[in-house]
This record gives sequence, structure tokens and C-alpha cells, in this order.
Amino acid sequence: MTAPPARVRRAVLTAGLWPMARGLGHPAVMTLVLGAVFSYLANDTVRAGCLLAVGLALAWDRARRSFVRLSAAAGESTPRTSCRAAVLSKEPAGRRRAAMRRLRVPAVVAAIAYSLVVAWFQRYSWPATIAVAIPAAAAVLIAWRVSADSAAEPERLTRTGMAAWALIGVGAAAWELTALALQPTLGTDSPAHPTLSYLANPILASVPGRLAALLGWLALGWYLARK
Amino acid sequence: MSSHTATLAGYLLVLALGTGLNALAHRPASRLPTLAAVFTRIMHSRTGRIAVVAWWAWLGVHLFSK
Repeated sequence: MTAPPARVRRAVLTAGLWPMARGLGHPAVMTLVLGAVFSYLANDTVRAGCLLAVGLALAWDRARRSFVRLSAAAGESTPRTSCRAAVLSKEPAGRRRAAMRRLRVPAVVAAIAYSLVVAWFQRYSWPATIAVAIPAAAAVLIAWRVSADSAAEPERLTRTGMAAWALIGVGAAAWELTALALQPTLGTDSPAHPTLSYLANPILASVPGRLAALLGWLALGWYLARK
Repeated sequence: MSSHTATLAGYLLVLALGTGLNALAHRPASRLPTLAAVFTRIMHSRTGRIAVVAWWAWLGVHLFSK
């Protein structure tokens, strides 16, 4: 088997890199990459790596789907066409919500049981790390597996409204990052310039505080999954 | 005012602005989207949905894990 000519290899590489670069420019991907940069600067290498990995995977995913769409538009009947069908399939939000409604009671029982156990683990201990990392990773993997672009027309939101929310989001992030930057070092907490994590420390120091935080975290996850 | 208080005031201001904007958005005939509508819009796409779930996962890991 002979290798393709260099010209063809270059063309394929360019065709793949450009959509990948465009994918990195997607606001959702950019937040993950920026989050990875700041986590890295705060010596949080593992979480920085995870955020970067998800960001890059999403950029690659967008590039791949863009390629599949182009192929489909060009009339190529390849297995990728069925992949497109899967990606854009109407995995209806209604069906997902109905399934979640049926699971509500067992999910609430499981969430309370989980939180009651994990709240007893010391923060930053290995048991707490493993107990939280497993559902977190599972949620991302499940989201990756089942998420599809919604086929329904998105609700139109006014530019002013989106800009107002973006301003608040950026303002909150900027304030948090300013507090982080004013610490003696990025990895050392400062009571004079508290970050949100620092402010959460007294709450998360006790079992009831951790219990409430875990329940809130799981409830937020459930709410997002229903969206 | 100490820098601790000023920092706290900044967080409270952002919280108040967000709460106020959401309250305004809930008024009838408001053209502002609610926070829930913004999240629905973001999560309309596969990329947005996975990114939001990744941030949710990060939050839990950040608060509890090594």
C-alpha cells in the first residue's frame, strides 16, 4: 500500500485544521480553554488538563461534524452520513424529560444517600475526590454520548438581553479573577481578597455544609440535564 | 472600607444585578430573556450542552476534590 502524495496529505490536514481552529473560537469552547489556562496558572494542573481536554475534544467534534455535513451536502453516501443522522437526530428533549420524570423519586433517594455518605469525607481527601470525580466524569461522558443539536428552532433572544447577561457573566468572572490575581500567589488564599472558593470554605468545613453543597450541586446537574 | 469588604461588596453587587435582571425578565412582555432562557439557548447545541455539563462537573470537583 502506497502512502498518499504529500500534496494530498497537506490538503487533508488543512481541511481538518481549519474547522478545528474555528471550533476553538466557539464561545463555549473558549470558556473551557480560558478556564484551563487560569486553572493552570493557579497550579491546578489536573483540572486544567481536564478542561483543556474537553475544550479540544469539543473543537474536534465540531470540526468532524462540519466535515460530515459538507460530505453529506456533496452527496457522498458514506457511513458518515448515518453518523450525521445520529448527531442531528431528534433525541427529543421531551422524551428525555419524560424519562427523567419517571426517575425523579429514585434519583432523589440516590442523591440524598450519596450526599449523606460523601458529606462525611474530608474535603480534598482521596475518598471525596473519587466520590465526586466519578459522577462528574460520568455526566460529561453521558452528555457526550447522548447530546445532539436540537432540531427545534431555538428561541430567539434579543441582543440587548444576551449582552446584559454576558456583561454580568464577564463582570462576575473578572471580579473573581481580580481577587485571584491579588492573592499573594495564585495558589495561596487571601482573606483580604477572597475568591468564591475561599468564601465557601467555612460552609464546606462542616458536614451539614458539605451535605447542602452536594445536594445543591446534584440538583443543579439534574436541572441542567432537563434543559 | 477594607479590601475584604470591598471584594465582598463586588460579589454582592454582581448577585444583585443578576437577580434584578432576572426579575425584570420575568415581567410580562419583557424583551429580556430570563437566565433559564439563556441556558436553554446555550444548551440548544451539542457543543453548548457538553460545555455546560463540563463546567458543572468542574464545579463539583473544584469544591471537593484534591
